[in-house]
Amino acid sequence: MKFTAVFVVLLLSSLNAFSGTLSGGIKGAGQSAVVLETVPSKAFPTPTQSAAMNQQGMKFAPALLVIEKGTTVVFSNEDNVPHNVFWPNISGNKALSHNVGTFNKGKTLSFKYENAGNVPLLCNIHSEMLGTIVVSPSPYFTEADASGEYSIKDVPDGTYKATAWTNGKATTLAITVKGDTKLDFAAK
Amino acid sequence: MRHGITTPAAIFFLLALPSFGCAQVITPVVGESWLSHLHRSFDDTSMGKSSGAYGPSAPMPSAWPLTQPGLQLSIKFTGQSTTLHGSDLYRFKCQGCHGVSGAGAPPEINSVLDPVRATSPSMYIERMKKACMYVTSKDAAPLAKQANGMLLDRLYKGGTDMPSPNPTLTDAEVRSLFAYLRQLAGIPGAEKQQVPVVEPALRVGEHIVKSTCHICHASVGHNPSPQELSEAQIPPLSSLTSRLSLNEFVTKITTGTPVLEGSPAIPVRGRMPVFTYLTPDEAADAYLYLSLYPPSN
Repeated sequence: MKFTAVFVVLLLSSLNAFSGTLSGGIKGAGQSAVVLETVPSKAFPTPTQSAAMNQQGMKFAPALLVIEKGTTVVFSNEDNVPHNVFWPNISGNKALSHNVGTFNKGKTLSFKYENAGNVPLLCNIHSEMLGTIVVSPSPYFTEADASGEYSIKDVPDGTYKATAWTNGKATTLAITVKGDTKLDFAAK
Repeated sequence: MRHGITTPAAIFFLLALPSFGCAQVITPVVGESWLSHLHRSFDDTSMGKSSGAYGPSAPMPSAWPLTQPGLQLSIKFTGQSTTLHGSDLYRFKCQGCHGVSGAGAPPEINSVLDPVRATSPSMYIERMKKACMYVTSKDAAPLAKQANGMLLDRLYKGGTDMPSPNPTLTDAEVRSLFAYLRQLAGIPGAEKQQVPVVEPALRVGEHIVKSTCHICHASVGHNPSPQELSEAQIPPLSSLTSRLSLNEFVTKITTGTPVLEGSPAIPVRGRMPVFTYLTPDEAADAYLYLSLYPPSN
């Protein structure tokens, strides 16, 4: 019994030594996402879960969706009018613009995001509609809360580039994670 | 020049006129009102109320009995064909809900302007530029084509909350209405692309009754008593021509008249909107249509 208890303590201690929670705040932020860029020589399995983005009440819902690269997003129209889903660029790259389609209530459209970055979602029929998908290059990502605070759990120790996306603009900082680590951003 | 046509013989003459040049099949208005179809109460909707105008205030008892102004129909009101523009079709079929500007009454009634503007690639590029979003012509063209297809589909078939454009629009009517919608939405050059259509008076009446009156009025049903009117019941279309003379009907539609409500019945300002954007001739067309094509179930 005594032996077992000692083993558990050692194991937990070991885990704490190799990962931690990256957390902090984003000053002056609206809705924001924080993502860790891909760590060289580390490959991640393709996500198997899809994500949902609705068009409801003449708005994209949620207004901000954060996903991992390789995730399929299913768009649905919950309004009684036709909607369109398209984006003119990904992180400003117009070559990655795409028109998912125009559809009525009850139909769905899907798209698999293979390019990381900020995706400004538009409906060309209702130009006031604006949504955002942030595609993270790694499985380490989160959406900041209303006060701009964020935390990403179980980040392996190491050196990363962390990017905060706010209103389509990126703030990238280098960070060395060693156990629980703090990193604050100042939104542009 | 306008003529007053008030005698029963003249009214009978108007009703007996054939519909020359009618390319469409005119049918009676049938079924429940659109509000009933949506399970929406008259007091909880903006549908059909875009004019924002109601009849005159109730007269004092000393002014009873009430008198009607003389019927003012134009000499052109002969029951024969008339040239309509897309703006006329818009008044008959869309304005009751979407209003004169097309802005609707959000969130219940959506604007028609954005879906129409979306059919213009250049306008979409300009609008997005103002929002600091840069859309290329290559991207805008297929988007506009899709928006165009969706809008045409809606003009032909209607939507979930929006009734199908009853009666179904002909291709010529769709072209005419679409051209006006583009002008209403401010698409450059659209005002020079208006397309007139020639329609018989009965078709005009059919448009007005089915697309405007039928929003709130069922085709047939119990004719409410003054007490039931005060309890918010709405008379069916089938009772209108038997209850009201042509003069009374046209006056009620275009300027409004007090309604007898309650028990004992006294004249009050009615709840029905006044359709200030319809002419006496057009209201008479609706009466003509209701008389020759009695509403059915």
